[in-house]
Amino acid sequence: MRAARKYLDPVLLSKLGNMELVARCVMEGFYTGLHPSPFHGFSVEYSDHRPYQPGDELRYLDWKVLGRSDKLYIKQFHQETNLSAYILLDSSKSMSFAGEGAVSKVDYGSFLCAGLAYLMLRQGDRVGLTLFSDRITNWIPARSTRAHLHTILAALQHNEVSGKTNIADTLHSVADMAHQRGLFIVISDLIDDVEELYNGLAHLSYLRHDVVLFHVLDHQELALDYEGLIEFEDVESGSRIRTFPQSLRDSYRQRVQRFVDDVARTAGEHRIDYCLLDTSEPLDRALIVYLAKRKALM
Amino acid sequence: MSFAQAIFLMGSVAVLAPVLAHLFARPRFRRLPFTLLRFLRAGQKDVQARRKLRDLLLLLLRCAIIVLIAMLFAGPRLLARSPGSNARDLYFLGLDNSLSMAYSDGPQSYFQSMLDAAADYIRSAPSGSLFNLYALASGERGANLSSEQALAFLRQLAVVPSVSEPDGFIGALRSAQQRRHPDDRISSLLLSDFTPKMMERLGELSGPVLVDDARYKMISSEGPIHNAAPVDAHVTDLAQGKLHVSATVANYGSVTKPRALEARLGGKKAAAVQVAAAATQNYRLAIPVEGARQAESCLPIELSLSGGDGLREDDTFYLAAILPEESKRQVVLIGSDRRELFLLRTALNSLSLMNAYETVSVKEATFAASHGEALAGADVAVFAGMPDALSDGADEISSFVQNGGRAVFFLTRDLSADALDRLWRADVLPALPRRYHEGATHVAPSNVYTDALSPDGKAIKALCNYKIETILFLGSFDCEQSPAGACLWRLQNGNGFVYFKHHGNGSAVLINTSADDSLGALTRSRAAVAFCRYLLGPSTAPLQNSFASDETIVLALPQSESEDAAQERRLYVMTPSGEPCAAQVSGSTASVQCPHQIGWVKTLTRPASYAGVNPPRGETDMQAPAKEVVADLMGRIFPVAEGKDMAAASRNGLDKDNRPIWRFFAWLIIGLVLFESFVANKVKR
Repeated sequence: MRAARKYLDPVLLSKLGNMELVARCVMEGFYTGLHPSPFHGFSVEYSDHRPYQPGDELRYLDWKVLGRSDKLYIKQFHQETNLSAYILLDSSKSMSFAGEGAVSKVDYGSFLCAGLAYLMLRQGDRVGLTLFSDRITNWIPARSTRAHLHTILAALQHNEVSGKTNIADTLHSVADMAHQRGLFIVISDLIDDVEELYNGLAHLSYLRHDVVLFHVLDHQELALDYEGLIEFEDVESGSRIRTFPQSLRDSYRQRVQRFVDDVARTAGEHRIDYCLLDTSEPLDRALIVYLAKRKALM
Repeated sequence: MSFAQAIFLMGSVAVLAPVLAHLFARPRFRRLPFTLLRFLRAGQKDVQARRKLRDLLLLLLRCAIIVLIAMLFAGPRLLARSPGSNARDLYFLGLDNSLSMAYSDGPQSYFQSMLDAAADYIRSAPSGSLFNLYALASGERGANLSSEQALAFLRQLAVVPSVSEPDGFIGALRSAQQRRHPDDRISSLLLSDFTPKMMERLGELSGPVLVDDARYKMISSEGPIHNAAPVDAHVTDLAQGKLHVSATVANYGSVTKPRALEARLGGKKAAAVQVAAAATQNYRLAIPVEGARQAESCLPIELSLSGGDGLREDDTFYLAAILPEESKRQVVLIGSDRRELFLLRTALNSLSLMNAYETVSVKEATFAASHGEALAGADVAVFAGMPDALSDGADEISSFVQNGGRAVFFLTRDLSADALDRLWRADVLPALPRRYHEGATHVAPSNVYTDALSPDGKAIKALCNYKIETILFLGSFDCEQSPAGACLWRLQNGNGFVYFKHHGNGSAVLINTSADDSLGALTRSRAAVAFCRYLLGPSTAPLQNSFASDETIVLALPQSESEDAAQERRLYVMTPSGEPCAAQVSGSTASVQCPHQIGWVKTLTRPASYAGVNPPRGETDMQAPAKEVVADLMGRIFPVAEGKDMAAASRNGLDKDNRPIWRFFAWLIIGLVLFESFVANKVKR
């Protein structure tokens, strides 16, 4: 499992270069590392048998096998749904930030996008992609064809960061454009006006969309582990501040934690699944969160 | 508070360094991209004030450390005295510059260590103090000096080959104590190696010395003392062209390193003997002198120990040997019978055999009315008593003495009053016996004769080496001394033992004991031959000129030179340093007080006469006493202030009126440095 998990290491994935390869690595690594049972789908298309385990629904019991061999087996099927998933990836300049030795937030988000798109398309879901900064820079509508994966991966491959974060407007826009209920996966560092952000999330929630909010932050943004005298320059506005990080570290961490807690609490209030991601950690936690959500939608 | 070296306060200017650094230094910031600056800005406002306070605190701490270090170097002292007082700080320093202080077993000598300690003491005194410095050996002194003058005095001070005499130093302290103003503060410091000689001198001091603060420092070596020296030498004989010298080598330390004792004559090695310097021992050297003797009669001989030790100044002993002309002495022994004179004759015969350059022929005679025949041709006449038979010969005896003879009279219990009266009236007797005292007695340990430099004085001095004072005498006479006579020696009961008198060209000697009794005891003793030698008058044996540096040096002059010098009564001689020095001429000798030097004093005549000048015996004995003994002695000399070891006194901080407070500054600096380190590393910026 540990060997498989290395394929989820964002630093390793950043060295692959090909987004399709990234997507495959993510999903193969993820599945190889998982326990085999919980995330198989159930649909009319037969997939596989597995031994019965207490708690399984009896309607999926293969009675013929039971009659012939007197053993309990459960039938597994490929899931077939009409779920429409919209992945929103923040491509503002702040997402280009990367701490020392780590991948940038936009790369981390791109790997996550690729993995999710690959997974969803294999499950027959329709997947769309929205790249945005202060406006929507690329909009790929949701489709379920296998060729659509290449479109999404190509868009991620050629995505370039620009502009400031304006996630609220983007959320309002996609909420208006989505004509049917779907799953919105937002991947952003949420460096925006907090009230506007909450309004956007509330808008999606109001329209009864399911939302998963992946809050991507670099490890340095969370911990501020810098040493010495440093002049910080804002990657979006260019403003600077001279400081001695050791002296600010505790108060900074408290403020970041308060911000994260606030976002998580607000998301919870709107029935939004919130997941804080550290770019120094593997991608599997994000995928587990997604699959848990996906199962809940079944 | 005052400062011993206020010049070091200039170092406080260095405080500008951190101030300027604080004002003008620009910290180097590393520029990095970041995103969540809004959270940094919020925290920055809170931290800003704290950081400024911290930086200011650090600046103040660093400035304070620099200023305190400058003050520490300046030697801070706490003055507890009331302002406006006329009180003076008087410091008396006794500096031992005797020869033993030249000892060195490391990078510097005792003397240099002493100068350093004295300089530190002077520098640590408060400004305005007056210093009185006393060089204990050379006698130099500097009174009421400022600290700069005192330091200059120290710089010109040198070791001299003399014994330390602390009397002057102690006397000055007592005098200052009597003349002191009520507010005056008198402090004393004695710096010495406290050799046995110095301890002896200190022990002879009478009465305590009362000062406010008395300190001493014992200059000593950590390791074993390595010092041996030839401390004495005597010319014992001249035979077969060789001069025999008996040299005494003393080991004044604890190192027993084998060495060689070399004799050099005129700068050339003449003889050598191996020395096992384990203890004081005598060594005999035979020095060939035949060639040298033809050129001059006074030979400069240097006896040197090879190898060297901690004190090289005492490794050479200077001895001038004066070779005699050959002579013949005719001695007539006059007594009642041969038995009475047997022992005396035997001693004289032994003397004759011992000295190849002085032949003594002995003739015996009995008391008779006329002694003209017996005295004819004699140089010395020894009378074993004074019977009536001697009455008629008084005039002959007087004539014998006046013509250059030497008459020696022994007293017996049955003296003839008539013989005594006649001899007394003939002015031959140095003293007149009055009444006999029975009872055992001994010769007094020291002679009372003041002119120890005369031939008879020298003979008496030689007799002392044979412990003549241990010989028992059974009785003696009360004697009336002749106005022209002198008592050379006394008995312990107060009577004179040897009386001496010049009479005409000769001399007369009276021995206050009998020839058959006490002289028997004498002639059976080790002193027999020496005593007989004394009876014969001035010796023709090889003589020697070797003196201690604190003695008056007497040089024998050649006949022609002494006649010329006698006209002016002054003569110049060359001192060991090569400088001419005026000498007082007296008869055929010239005397000079050597100015604290070791080596040769010689006349400027040809041939030259030499005298060796050596360190005072025992001065370079480096075996220092135990510290407790020194502390006890110093405590007795300085009872009120309780003589304190210099370091201990300083450690205890007993000087309350003028207390060095450098320790306080040192601890304060250490504390501030630790606090600065804490603030710099632990307090958040």
